[in-house]
Amino acid sequence: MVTPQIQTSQLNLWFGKNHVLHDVSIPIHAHQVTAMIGPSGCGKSTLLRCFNRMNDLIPDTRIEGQVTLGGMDIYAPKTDVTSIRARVGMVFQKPNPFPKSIFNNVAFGLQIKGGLTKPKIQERVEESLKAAWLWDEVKDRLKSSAMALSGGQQQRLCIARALANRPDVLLLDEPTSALDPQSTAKIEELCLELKKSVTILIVTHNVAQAGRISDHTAFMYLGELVEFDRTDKMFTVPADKRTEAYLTGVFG
Amino acid sequence: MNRRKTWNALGTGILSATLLATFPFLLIFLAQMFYKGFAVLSPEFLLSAPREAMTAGGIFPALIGTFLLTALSILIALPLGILTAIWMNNYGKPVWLIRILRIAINTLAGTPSIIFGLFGMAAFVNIMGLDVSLLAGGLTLAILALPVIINNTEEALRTVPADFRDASLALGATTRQTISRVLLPTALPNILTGAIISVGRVAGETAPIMFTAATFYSRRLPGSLSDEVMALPYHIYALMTEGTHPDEQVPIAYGTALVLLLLVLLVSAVAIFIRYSIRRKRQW
Amino acid sequence: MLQDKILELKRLLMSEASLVEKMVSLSIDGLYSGARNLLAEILDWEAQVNSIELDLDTKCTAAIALYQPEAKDLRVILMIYRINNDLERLGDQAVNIAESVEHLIGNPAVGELPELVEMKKSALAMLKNSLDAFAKEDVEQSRAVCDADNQVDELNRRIYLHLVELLKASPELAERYLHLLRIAKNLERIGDLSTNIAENTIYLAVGRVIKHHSDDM
Repeated sequence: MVTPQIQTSQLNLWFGKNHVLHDVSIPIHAHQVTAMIGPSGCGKSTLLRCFNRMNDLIPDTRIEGQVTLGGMDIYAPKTDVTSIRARVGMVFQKPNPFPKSIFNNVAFGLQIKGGLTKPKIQERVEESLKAAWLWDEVKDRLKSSAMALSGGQQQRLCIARALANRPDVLLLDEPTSALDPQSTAKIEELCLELKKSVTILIVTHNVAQAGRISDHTAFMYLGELVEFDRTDKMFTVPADKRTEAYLTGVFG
Repeated sequence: MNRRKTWNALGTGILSATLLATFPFLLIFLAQMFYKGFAVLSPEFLLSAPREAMTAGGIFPALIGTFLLTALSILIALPLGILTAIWMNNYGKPVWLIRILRIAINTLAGTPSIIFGLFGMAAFVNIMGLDVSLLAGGLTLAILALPVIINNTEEALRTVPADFRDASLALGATTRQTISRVLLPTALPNILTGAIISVGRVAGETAPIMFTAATFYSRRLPGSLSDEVMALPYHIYALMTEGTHPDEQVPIAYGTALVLLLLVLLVSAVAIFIRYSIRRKRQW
Repeated sequence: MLQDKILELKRLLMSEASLVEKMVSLSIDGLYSGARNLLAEILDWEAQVNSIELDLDTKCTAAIALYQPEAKDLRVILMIYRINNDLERLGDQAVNIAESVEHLIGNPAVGELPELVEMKKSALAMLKNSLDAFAKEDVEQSRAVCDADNQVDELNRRIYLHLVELLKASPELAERYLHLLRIAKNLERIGDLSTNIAENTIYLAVGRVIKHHSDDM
């Protein structure tokens, strides 16, 4: 058994008095796509945001339990949150490029970190855009506004922007829910390519999407991790009745 | 359905009627100003000092005075206002303090300008001993502009989508980097538009400078921050209330008023144009 | 993604098919060549076929569950699933034949039944052609396989009648003749299963069901 790259143990989370995550223990393995599915409000997005501590931004959040990334406890008091976030990239539901040029969007993470020369940054921007399958579409207009790109291109730009930090993990929070079917298919294929170099966690409303691209799937319900298994196994013979009901569309 | 239609028609009717009722007044007002003021308008009027006990000559010192007062007050109020808004928007804690600050700012925004004048006289002219001066007037006007700029900046920062902030933080940026590299650049055009509108407001104020900066008559331009200055609004006031030769002075007052009016209109037009071009370019 | 999966399923199916083809032709050839250890060898291969069958079975189910295929993709996977089943049973037929062959090795009774050689050729050709046609999704070739089935059935009937005559003539050789009958019966089943494969190929290629002569209507 390979040691998981990310491991949560007995993770509990409260927003104020609202107990959102209950004793979640989940192993995430390197170079795999792990999908998190479940009905709205089941806590899957909240769980995702525990991995880069984005929940810290919500006032009145309390977290108990552990989240380790490559063996390091990311909620330890001395942990530098910004370095965690540089190692764990995130792509959001709605494509959210900055109102800057394509180049400056991708270079953003490198510029704020500093310490890289201009040619080095240029090199890294090109590398990231290529990795996100966007280079050929934008190489002639790196200086033009990212806002002029199509929705699917913007989302791939956001992926490139996250990749520029050379993260170990990429968190995708329903990355295709605002996109048309073609852009969605492209991003799904991209995920399969990207998992060679980065571990991917994806939250999705779309059960079929989880089936198409994930190696492991976590089914969340009412803040609990109901079932975690290999996707092909869960999708053919789920162990829990609630998983079966959700997959067959009885609820959710 | 029909009832809703009736109400709708009625509402639209009332609104159009009020607009139609106001519009003639505006037209008459503008026509009056142009008719009476246009006669004295000339390059010489703009570029020379008043002569012969203000019965002749131009308004050059008042023009410069208004420019200096406005520039000084905005220079003081803008950084202060922007920083305050950023602090309230991003760092402000605890919540009750922010709430009290907001009430204070809104009260300040609704305070009659003569109160600012009196406060400025008490605080800057007398207690701080700045005397009636450009600096005292600039500070008083800055306090007047401050609530407008704070509110406007906060509003501009609020219109920056939370997505941008999240994206920046998720890339490992600190709060400070997020403000300086994402929030401010995105909100800046709106902040500046607001600042320009407050320029228009400050330039036209009489009461705050009456006791703090303005002088009735000065042939020379101010040489330092501690000099008294002439100003357009006060010049009008002075000509109309304290003039001894109404036949010559009233037309000059109208000319001055027209210049002030045109200046304020110009500033507003610039603001509207900037806002328009931003809205057209904005895509989020 | 799905296309890669389908390709993998097809490849697996073809490897199963080539094993089965070899099993069938070896088992029946044993009747004439008199090879020893035939049954053991065939059983060995059957175990391999069974494990591929199980593997394909779960992979097809998973592919449907994970990718929710539509139209032709769905037909391909369903047909692979069915042909997989047919192949496994073809393997069983080969084992049956090999069992009977064990009892008949070096037996002169075989020579008394020349129709069996013809039937063997026809049935083997049907199997080979049905798998070929599937690989190429060739509708014409598949139809030819379906047509050939009548011929095999006819041969089976003739062999049956011939064996009845032989039995009457020398009842003391009954066991041998019954083994030959069993071999013929299994060859006939091979023809049927090949026809199934051909029908499935036609459904896969054009989406029409031709089983039970439903295309006559």
